Amino acid sequence: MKELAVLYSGGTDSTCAVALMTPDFDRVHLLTYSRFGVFFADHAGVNVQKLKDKFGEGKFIHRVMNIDKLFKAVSYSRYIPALAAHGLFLLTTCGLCKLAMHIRTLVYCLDNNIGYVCDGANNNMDYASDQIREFIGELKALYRRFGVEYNSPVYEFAHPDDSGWFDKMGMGSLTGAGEEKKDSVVTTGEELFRMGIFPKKNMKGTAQDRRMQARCFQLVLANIFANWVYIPRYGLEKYKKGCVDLYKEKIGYFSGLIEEYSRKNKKSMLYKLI
Amino acid sequence: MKRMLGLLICFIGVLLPWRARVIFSELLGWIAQAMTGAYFLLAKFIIKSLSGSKAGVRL
Repeated sequence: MKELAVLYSGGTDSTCAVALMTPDFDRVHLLTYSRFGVFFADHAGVNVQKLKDKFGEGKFIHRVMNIDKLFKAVSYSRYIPALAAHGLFLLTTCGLCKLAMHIRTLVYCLDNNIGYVCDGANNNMDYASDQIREFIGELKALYRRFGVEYNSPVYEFAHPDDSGWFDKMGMGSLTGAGEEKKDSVVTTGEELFRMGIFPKKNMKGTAQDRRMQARCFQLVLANIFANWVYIPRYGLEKYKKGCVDLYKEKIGYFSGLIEEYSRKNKKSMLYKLI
Repeated sequence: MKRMLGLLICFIGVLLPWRARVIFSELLGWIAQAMTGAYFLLAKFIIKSLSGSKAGVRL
């Protein structure tokens, strides 16, 4: 049986990733993660039902898993040396949280003999530490090391250009949003609309969108560091490099723990964190 | 000024243990949300008033 595990938030991007990948698999495991500070993780169930209606009830297994201990370990392991080496990059919570989710997903794959993983990562937020291309590359290498193939099917999809301030105030025509849109540029919302899963082409930022995925405010601290402190002085490329250097170090450390888990299972250190 | 304020917030954040950091971020998030909401409503009110006055006011 060909199985796929998906890091599933319930939002437009991860739902689109599932919709694109599902036809190639016999069973799809939708993994939603919750932890202290992430609210309404159960909202992801809204779009799980839509996916079941489209592709069949028996095709999906939806699990909500807590990653409190793992997230804490990823964020705070060897804290003082990490603080000395990476400074305020330790505040880039989104990347660290995403790394904790991927580690948990990899462990889930090893436990259930799943060979494929995907998520809804998208390249349209330049300063979002969890969506940096080089970080995705490092994650791919981590999965490959354990015989799992990871990809981000919606990474190159466009961002809706009618979700800005002017559009929310009913003045989208002033910005010319969407007027000269190329045919080849498709958003995840448009793809889901085309498949008949979503009722509208763009749900991002709407009240409906908020009711179908978890909410987390910890990106605020990360964004203050990125947009007020670091990027104005050193630039975006250096910021991305700083993030990736930190995550690479964390991946190296946790790769060793996953290896130990695959050998010792319940007697391993990682087992206590999951 | 913005950078100094940012640095101050970040230095506090980086020293906090994980649950306290989450609560601190949550607090910052709600402040940002309130400011964004106020800005949005104000801008909408100004635009509405301007479009209303365009039709009614005679100079």
